[in-house]
Amino acid sequence: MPTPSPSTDPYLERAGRWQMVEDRLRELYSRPAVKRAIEYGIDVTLLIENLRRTPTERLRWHQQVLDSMVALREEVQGPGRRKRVG
Amino acid sequence: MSATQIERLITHLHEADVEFIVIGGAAAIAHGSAHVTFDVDICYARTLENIARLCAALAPLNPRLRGTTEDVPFTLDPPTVEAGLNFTLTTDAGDLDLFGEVAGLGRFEDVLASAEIINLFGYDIHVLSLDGLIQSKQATGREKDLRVLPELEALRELNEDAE
Repeated sequence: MPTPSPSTDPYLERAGRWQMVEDRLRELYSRPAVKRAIEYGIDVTLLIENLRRTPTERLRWHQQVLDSMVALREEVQGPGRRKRVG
Repeated sequence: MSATQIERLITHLHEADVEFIVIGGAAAIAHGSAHVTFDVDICYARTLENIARLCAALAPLNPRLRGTTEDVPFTLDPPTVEAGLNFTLTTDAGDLDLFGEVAGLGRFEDVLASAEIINLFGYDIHVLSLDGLIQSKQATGREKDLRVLPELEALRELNEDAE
């Protein structure tokens, strides 16, 4: 019986891919500033996701988040009672 | 009140040939920050021609001083901008802060040296670099600025792969 290999076994292939992702994340998370950011409480996965977008996509994504926050705030506080938080 | 329209403000100023650099939170987001900002900060060139272009560009957006009541007289015109330096404004497109100089970097020409050209919304826009952002945040020493340093420094490190 032939020995299963990643090229013939889909499970092993998927496992191999996950191993690559894990190795990559482990390498990223071990970098000094990234490590400090994680210890500080920053969700570095959000940064990694953002870096996959173009700068325009990042600002448009932010706009969607901002629009939602303002809409939610007005829902809670009523229009015209916006308080600056940033 | 609706949220600040970042795209509208940046493209509007660019199309009016205003010389400006995107700084602050919007610049950080362009570099990948996950922070939320409620305004657009720009550093503008303080030449007479640029101040005139800036005032003309913003006039249709009904600029007024943020945080003041309606009865405080204010017109964003060239004499006012020449006499002042930094302005925190509310416009019909949202909150916009104008800076004649940036802490830790200096005036427009110094900030420009720390800026990079990034394609935003189809235009080549000057945006303060991550190094410049870090330098200015460190220089202010304010709690709110120091809080974003770990994220900016992490972004700089993560960006090393792309360079």
